[in-house]
Amino acid sequence: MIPPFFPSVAGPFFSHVFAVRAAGKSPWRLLGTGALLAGLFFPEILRADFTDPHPELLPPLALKRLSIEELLSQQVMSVSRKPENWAQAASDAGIGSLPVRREIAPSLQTELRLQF
Amino acid sequence: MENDSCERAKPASFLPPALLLGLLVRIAALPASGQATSREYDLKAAFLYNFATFGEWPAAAFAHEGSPFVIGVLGADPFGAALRDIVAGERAKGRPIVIRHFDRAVEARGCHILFISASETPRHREILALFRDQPVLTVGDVPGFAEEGGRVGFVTASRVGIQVNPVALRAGNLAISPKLLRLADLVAVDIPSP
Repeated sequence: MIPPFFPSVAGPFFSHVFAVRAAGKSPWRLLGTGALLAGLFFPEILRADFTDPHPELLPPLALKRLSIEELLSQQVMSVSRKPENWAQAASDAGIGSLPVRREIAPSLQTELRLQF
Repeated sequence: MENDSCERAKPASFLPPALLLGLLVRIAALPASGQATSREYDLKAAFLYNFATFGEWPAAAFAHEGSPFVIGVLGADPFGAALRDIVAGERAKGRPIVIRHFDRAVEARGCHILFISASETPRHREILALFRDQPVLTVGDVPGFAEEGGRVGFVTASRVGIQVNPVALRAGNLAISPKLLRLADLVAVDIPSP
């Protein structure tokens, strides 16, 4: 099997080229094609998120090789905590003990029992 | 005939800017490799490892010549496997580094670095008072940790900063290298009495 000459490009990239070539000789057609291209590209520019949505995270083993200055310059991806001892955290926050929570949502308890 | 060729040239002159524009948009959308981003507690684990290098402990802090350098975590452990992975096979002050977890502060007196988890917040003042004159580098990340007498506090925003309480350090006969002190914020002191 002969591999394709052009790499696979996602989106309407090559179709844009063919649209321009097909526009022909008329300046009006050219103008129309330009407007079409602008219509295709400009929303993409407006939508484009130039801040990286999936930044490359450094693993712990890479972090330990960084200097203290480099560690201080690292951006934090998430400030959320990993799971903690929830029962302790809940009692610290004054939420109360487990029997109180069961009284608050008795219907939920029943539903859960039915499901399992 | 000549006009005809001129008109044909127009699409070709129009194409490069349009193609270039599209290419730039697509390149901008690609992930930027090597961007300096980390998970919060992976980063803090790396800091703890660095503190073992930048801190100075009195000889009395080590039971004997072969005793390990102990990094403790008091309360709920937010580091997962990161801290263990970072110190695996590493040494500090010529000693192997070990990680220990504690539920009660009194058990953690033999530590050299002690991360006091946010789960211990209601007991922070009592815990810090317990370590007031102990050679234990207490580290925490709840707001105001260093002001309350903790020795090193993390300040977490888009980056992680460091606060150091120099008076609390001296009370424990500890020191931190000038390099780290230059990079840290020095805070006002309030050492809880026992």
